[in-house]
Amino acid sequence: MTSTKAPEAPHQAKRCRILIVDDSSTHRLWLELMLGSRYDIDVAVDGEAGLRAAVANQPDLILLDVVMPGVDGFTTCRALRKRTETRKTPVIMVTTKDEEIDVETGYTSGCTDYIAKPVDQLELLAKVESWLDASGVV
Amino acid sequence: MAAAPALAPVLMADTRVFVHPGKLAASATPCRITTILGSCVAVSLHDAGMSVGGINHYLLPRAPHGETSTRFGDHALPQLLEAVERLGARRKHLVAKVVGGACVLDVFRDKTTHLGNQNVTMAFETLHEMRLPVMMAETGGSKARHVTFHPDTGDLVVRCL
Repeated sequence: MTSTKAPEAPHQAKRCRILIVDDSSTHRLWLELMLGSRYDIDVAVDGEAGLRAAVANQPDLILLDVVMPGVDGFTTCRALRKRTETRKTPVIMVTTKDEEIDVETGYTSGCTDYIAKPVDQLELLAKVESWLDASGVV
Repeated sequence: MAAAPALAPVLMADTRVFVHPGKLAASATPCRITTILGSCVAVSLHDAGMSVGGINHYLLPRAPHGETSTRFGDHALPQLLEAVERLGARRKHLVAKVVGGACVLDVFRDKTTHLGNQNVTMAFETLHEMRLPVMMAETGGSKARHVTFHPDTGDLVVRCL
Protein backbone atom coordinates (compact mmCIF):
# COMPACT_ATOMS: atom_id res chain seq x y z
CA MET A 1 0.00 0.00 0.00
CA THR A 2 1.22 3.49 -0.75
CA SER A 3 -0.05 6.82 0.44
CA THR A 4 -0.14 10.27 -1.09
CA LYS A 5 -1.19 13.51 0.56
CA ALA A 6 -2.64 16.19 -1.70
CA PRO A 7 -2.40 19.92 -0.95
CA GLU A 8 -4.73 21.17 1.75
CA ALA A 9 -8.12 22.35 0.47
CA PRO A 10 -8.74 25.71 2.20
CA HIS A 11 -12.51 25.33 2.60
CA GLN A 12 -12.48 21.94 4.30
CA ALA A 13 -11.93 21.69 8.05
CA LYS A 14 -11.19 17.97 8.13
CA ARG A 15 -9.51 16.11 5.31
CA CYS A 16 -11.14 12.77 4.83
CA ARG A 17 -9.16 9.68 3.89
CA ILE A 18 -10.25 7.54 0.97
CA LEU A 19 -8.92 4.07 0.18
CA ILE A 20 -8.82 3.13 -3.50
CA VAL A 21 -8.66 -0.63 -4.12
CA ASP A 22 -8.00 -1.38 -7.79
CA ASP A 23 -5.50 -3.60 -9.58
CA SER A 24 -5.23 -1.22 -12.54
CA SER A 25 -2.58 1.44 -12.10
CA THR A 26 -4.33 3.52 -14.75
CA HIS A 27 -7.63 3.46 -12.89
CA ARG A 28 -5.95 4.15 -9.56
CA LEU A 29 -4.16 7.14 -11.04
CA TRP A 30 -7.35 8.42 -12.66
CA LEU A 31 -9.27 8.19 -9.39
CA GLU A 32 -6.42 9.86 -7.51
CA LEU A 33 -6.42 12.70 -10.02
CA MET A 34 -10.16 13.20 -9.57
CA LEU A 35 -10.09 13.09 -5.77
CA GLY A 36 -6.56 13.97 -4.66
CA SER A 37 -7.07 17.71 -4.36
CA ARG A 38 -9.89 17.22 -1.85
CA TYR A 39 -9.03 14.06 0.04
CA ASP A 40 -6.07 12.11 1.35
CA ILE A 41 -5.73 8.97 -0.71
CA ASP A 42 -4.50 5.49 0.18
CA VAL A 43 -4.26 2.83 -2.50
CA ALA A 44 -4.22 -0.97 -2.51
CA VAL A 45 -3.74 -3.18 -5.54
CA ASP A 46 -5.99 -6.14 -4.73
CA GLY A 47 -8.73 -7.31 -2.40
CA GLU A 48 -6.47 -8.81 0.25
CA ALA A 49 -4.29 -5.71 0.44
CA GLY A 50 -7.42 -3.58 0.45
CA LEU A 51 -8.90 -5.44 3.40
CA ARG A 52 -5.65 -5.18 5.35
CA ALA A 53 -5.35 -1.46 4.60
CA ALA A 54 -8.98 -0.80 5.50
CA VAL A 55 -8.73 -2.56 8.85
CA ALA A 56 -5.38 -0.99 9.70
CA ASN A 57 -6.08 2.59 8.61
CA GLN A 58 -9.88 2.77 8.87
CA PRO A 59 -10.47 5.15 5.95
CA ASP A 60 -13.57 7.32 5.83
CA LEU A 61 -14.68 5.78 2.53
CA ILE A 62 -13.55 2.97 0.23
CA LEU A 63 -13.65 2.85 -3.58
CA LEU A 64 -13.58 -0.83 -4.51
CA ASP A 65 -12.99 -2.43 -7.90
CA VAL A 66 -14.63 -5.81 -8.56
CA VAL A 67 -12.44 -7.65 -11.05
CA MET A 68 -9.07 -8.09 -9.41
CA PRO A 69 -6.58 -10.96 -9.15
CA GLY A 70 -7.10 -13.16 -6.10
CA VAL A 71 -9.96 -11.93 -3.95
CA ASP A 72 -12.54 -10.03 -6.01
CA GLY A 73 -14.38 -6.90 -4.91
CA PHE A 74 -17.62 -8.64 -3.95
CA THR A 75 -15.77 -11.02 -1.61
CA THR A 76 -13.72 -8.14 -0.24
CA CYS A 77 -16.88 -6.15 0.46
CA ARG A 78 -18.44 -9.06 2.37
CA ALA A 79 -15.24 -9.33 4.41
CA LEU A 80 -15.28 -5.60 5.13
CA ARG A 81 -18.83 -5.86 6.43
CA LYS A 82 -17.87 -8.66 8.82
CA ARG A 83 -15.10 -6.63 10.47
CA THR A 84 -16.09 -4.26 13.25
CA GLU A 85 -13.46 -1.74 12.07
CA THR A 86 -15.05 -1.41 8.61
CA ARG A 87 -18.64 -2.53 9.10
CA LYS A 88 -19.99 1.02 8.81
CA THR A 89 -17.51 2.44 6.31
CA PRO A 90 -19.15 3.57 3.06
CA VAL A 91 -18.01 1.31 0.21
CA ILE A 92 -18.57 2.42 -3.37
CA MET A 93 -18.04 -0.25 -6.01
CA VAL A 94 -16.27 1.26 -9.03
CA THR A 95 -16.21 -1.31 -11.79
CA THR A 96 -16.67 -2.26 -15.42
CA LYS A 97 -19.09 -4.98 -14.27
CA ASP A 98 -22.38 -3.20 -14.86
CA GLU A 99 -24.84 -5.93 -15.79
CA GLU A 100 -27.93 -6.58 -13.69
CA ILE A 101 -26.48 -9.57 -11.85
CA ASP A 102 -23.30 -7.65 -11.06
CA VAL A 103 -25.10 -4.67 -9.54
CA GLU A 104 -27.38 -6.94 -7.51
CA THR A 105 -24.39 -8.92 -6.25
CA GLY A 106 -22.69 -5.67 -5.30
CA TYR A 107 -25.56 -4.51 -3.15
CA THR A 108 -26.12 -7.93 -1.57
CA SER A 109 -22.40 -7.98 -0.77
CA GLY A 110 -22.92 -4.86 1.32
CA CYS A 111 -21.76 -2.00 -0.87
CA THR A 112 -23.18 1.46 -0.23
CA ASP A 113 -23.24 2.59 -3.85
CA TYR A 114 -22.27 1.35 -7.30
CA ILE A 115 -20.51 3.31 -10.05
CA ALA A 116 -19.78 1.92 -13.51
CA LYS A 117 -16.51 2.61 -15.31
CA PRO A 118 -15.65 4.74 -17.14
CA VAL A 119 -16.14 6.97 -14.14
CA ASP A 120 -17.86 10.30 -14.54
CA GLN A 121 -16.11 12.82 -12.30
CA LEU A 122 -19.28 14.68 -11.42
CA GLU A 123 -21.02 11.49 -10.34
CA LEU A 124 -18.00 10.30 -8.38
CA LEU A 125 -17.54 13.56 -6.50
CA ALA A 126 -21.25 13.89 -5.74
CA LYS A 127 -21.47 10.39 -4.35
CA VAL A 128 -18.24 10.56 -2.38
CA GLU A 129 -19.25 13.89 -0.82
CA SER A 130 -22.76 12.68 -0.08
CA TRP A 131 -21.67 9.47 1.65
CA LEU A 132 -18.95 11.20 3.63
CA ASP A 133 -21.52 13.74 4.77
CA ALA A 134 -24.11 11.08 5.56
CA SER A 135 -21.65 9.07 7.59
CA GLY A 136 -20.90 12.11 9.70
CA VAL A 137 -17.17 12.44 9.05
CA VAL A 138 -17.40 15.93 7.52
CA MET B 1 -44.27 0.14 -31.03
CA ALA B 2 -41.91 3.03 -31.55
CA ALA B 3 -38.55 3.86 -30.16
CA ALA B 4 -38.29 6.44 -27.42
CA PRO B 5 -35.56 9.11 -27.61
CA ALA B 6 -31.99 8.28 -28.39
CA LEU B 7 -31.09 6.94 -24.96
CA ALA B 8 -33.96 4.49 -24.80
CA PRO B 9 -33.61 1.05 -26.40
CA VAL B 10 -36.14 -0.23 -28.91
CA LEU B 11 -38.13 -2.78 -26.94
CA MET B 12 -39.53 -5.83 -28.69
CA ALA B 13 -42.52 -7.70 -27.33
CA ASP B 14 -41.82 -10.09 -24.44
CA THR B 15 -38.22 -8.99 -24.12
CA ARG B 16 -36.47 -8.03 -20.92
CA VAL B 17 -34.35 -4.91 -20.77
CA PHE B 18 -32.06 -3.76 -17.98
CA VAL B 19 -31.97 0.02 -17.62
CA HIS B 20 -28.48 1.08 -16.64
CA PRO B 21 -28.01 4.12 -14.42
CA GLY B 22 -28.62 7.32 -16.32
CA LYS B 23 -30.80 5.69 -18.98
CA LEU B 24 -34.51 5.30 -19.66
CA ALA B 25 -36.74 2.92 -21.57
CA ALA B 26 -40.30 3.11 -22.84
CA SER B 27 -42.59 0.76 -24.73
CA ALA B 28 -46.14 0.14 -25.87
CA THR B 29 -45.72 -3.63 -26.04
CA PRO B 30 -45.61 -6.23 -23.27
CA CYS B 31 -42.09 -6.55 -21.94
CA ARG B 32 -40.18 -6.36 -18.69
CA ILE B 33 -37.94 -3.43 -17.85
CA THR B 34 -35.68 -3.91 -14.84
CA THR B 35 -33.27 -1.73 -12.94
CA ILE B 36 -31.46 -1.69 -9.60
CA LEU B 37 -31.48 1.32 -7.31
CA GLY B 38 -29.45 2.35 -4.31
CA SER B 39 -29.48 6.11 -3.76
CA CYS B 40 -30.66 6.55 -7.35
CA VAL B 41 -34.33 7.07 -8.18
CA ALA B 42 -36.56 5.60 -10.88
CA VAL B 43 -39.80 7.21 -11.99
CA SER B 44 -42.28 5.31 -14.12
CA LEU B 45 -45.03 6.87 -16.20
CA HIS B 46 -48.01 4.91 -17.53
CA ASP B 47 -51.10 5.60 -19.59
CA ALA B 48 -53.49 2.72 -18.93
CA GLY B 49 -55.78 3.59 -21.82
CA MET B 50 -53.01 3.43 -24.39
CA SER B 51 -51.04 0.66 -22.63
CA VAL B 52 -47.89 2.75 -22.89
CA GLY B 53 -45.30 3.17 -20.20
CA GLY B 54 -41.70 4.02 -19.48
CA ILE B 55 -39.23 4.27 -16.66
CA ASN B 56 -36.01 6.17 -16.03
CA HIS B 57 -33.11 5.75 -13.61
CA TYR B 58 -31.27 8.89 -12.61
CA LEU B 59 -28.25 9.30 -10.36
CA LEU B 60 -28.16 12.94 -9.34
CA PRO B 61 -30.94 15.47 -8.78
CA ARG B 62 -29.76 18.43 -10.83
CA ALA B 63 -27.61 18.84 -13.91
CA PRO B 64 -24.85 21.42 -14.01
CA HIS B 65 -25.27 24.25 -16.49
CA GLY B 66 -25.13 23.01 -20.07
CA GLU B 67 -25.76 19.33 -19.25
CA THR B 68 -28.91 17.65 -20.57
CA SER B 69 -28.12 14.03 -19.71
CA THR B 70 -30.75 11.71 -18.26
CA ARG B 71 -28.28 10.96 -15.48
CA PHE B 72 -29.86 14.01 -13.82
CA GLY B 73 -33.40 14.10 -12.47
CA ASP B 74 -34.23 17.51 -13.88
CA HIS B 75 -33.65 16.11 -17.40
CA ALA B 76 -34.56 12.45 -16.89
CA LEU B 77 -38.18 13.26 -16.05
CA PRO B 78 -38.99 15.57 -18.99
CA GLN B 79 -37.23 13.18 -21.37
CA LEU B 80 -39.21 10.23 -20.02
CA LEU B 81 -42.41 12.19 -20.55
CA GLU B 82 -41.34 12.93 -24.11
CA ALA B 83 -40.55 9.24 -24.68
CA VAL B 84 -43.95 7.95 -23.59
CA GLU B 85 -45.79 10.72 -25.42
CA ARG B 86 -43.99 9.73 -28.62
CA LEU B 87 -45.39 6.25 -28.12
CA GLY B 88 -48.91 7.58 -27.87
CA ALA B 89 -49.36 8.25 -24.17
CA ARG B 90 -51.66 11.15 -23.33
CA ARG B 91 -50.32 13.50 -20.72
CA LYS B 92 -53.58 13.95 -18.82
CA HIS B 93 -53.93 10.17 -18.47
CA LEU B 94 -50.43 9.54 -17.16
CA VAL B 95 -49.75 8.41 -13.62
CA ALA B 96 -46.35 8.19 -11.98
CA LYS B 97 -44.66 5.84 -9.56
CA VAL B 98 -41.49 6.75 -7.67
CA VAL B 99 -38.97 4.26 -6.30
CA GLY B 100 -35.51 4.44 -4.75
CA GLY B 101 -33.50 7.00 -2.86
CA ALA B 102 -32.21 4.60 -0.24
CA CYS B 103 -29.44 5.30 2.22
CA VAL B 104 -27.76 1.95 2.11
CA LEU B 105 -26.41 1.51 5.62
CA ASP B 106 -28.40 1.60 8.83
CA VAL B 107 -25.97 4.00 10.43
CA PHE B 108 -26.85 6.70 7.88
CA ARG B 109 -30.61 6.67 8.16
CA ASP B 110 -30.94 9.65 10.46
CA LYS B 111 -29.39 11.93 7.87
CA THR B 112 -31.99 13.66 5.76
CA THR B 113 -29.72 15.45 3.33
CA HIS B 114 -28.14 12.41 1.69
CA LEU B 115 -28.17 11.94 -2.05
CA GLY B 116 -31.09 9.52 -2.01
CA ASN B 117 -33.34 12.05 -0.30
CA GLN B 118 -32.26 14.77 -2.73
CA ASN B 119 -33.13 12.49 -5.66
CA VAL B 120 -36.54 11.68 -4.19
CA THR B 121 -37.30 15.35 -3.54
CA MET B 122 -36.41 16.16 -7.14
CA ALA B 123 -38.85 13.51 -8.38
CA PHE B 124 -41.79 14.79 -6.35
CA GLU B 125 -41.06 18.46 -7.11
CA THR B 126 -40.72 17.86 -10.84
CA LEU B 127 -43.80 15.63 -11.05
CA HIS B 128 -45.76 18.30 -9.18
CA GLU B 129 -44.57 20.97 -11.61
CA MET B 130 -45.50 18.70 -14.53
CA ARG B 131 -48.90 18.07 -12.92
CA LEU B 132 -48.45 14.32 -13.07
CA PRO B 133 -50.11 12.44 -10.19
CA VAL B 134 -48.06 10.02 -8.12
CA MET B 135 -50.07 6.88 -7.48
CA MET B 136 -47.35 4.92 -5.67
CA ALA B 137 -44.06 5.72 -3.98
CA GLU B 138 -41.58 3.45 -2.27
CA THR B 139 -38.63 5.59 -1.32
CA GLY B 140 -35.95 6.02 1.30
CA GLY B 141 -35.05 3.28 3.72
CA SER B 142 -31.77 1.45 4.01
CA LYS B 143 -32.05 -1.25 1.35
CA ALA B 144 -31.19 -1.21 -2.33
CA ARG B 145 -34.08 -2.19 -4.58
CA HIS B 146 -34.58 -4.35 -7.66
CA VAL B 147 -37.37 -2.96 -9.80
CA THR B 148 -39.38 -4.68 -12.53
CA PHE B 149 -41.68 -2.48 -14.59
CA HIS B 150 -44.25 -3.68 -17.13
CA PRO B 151 -44.83 -0.75 -19.51
CA ASP B 152 -48.06 -2.11 -21.00
CA THR B 153 -49.82 -2.64 -17.67
CA GLY B 154 -47.94 -0.13 -15.53
CA ASP B 155 -47.27 -2.80 -12.92
CA LEU B 156 -44.16 -2.09 -10.92
CA VAL B 157 -42.67 -4.75 -8.66
CA VAL B 158 -40.09 -3.82 -6.06
CA ARG B 159 -37.82 -6.33 -4.34
CA CYS B 160 -35.51 -5.18 -1.56
CA LEU B 161 -31.97 -6.54 -1.81
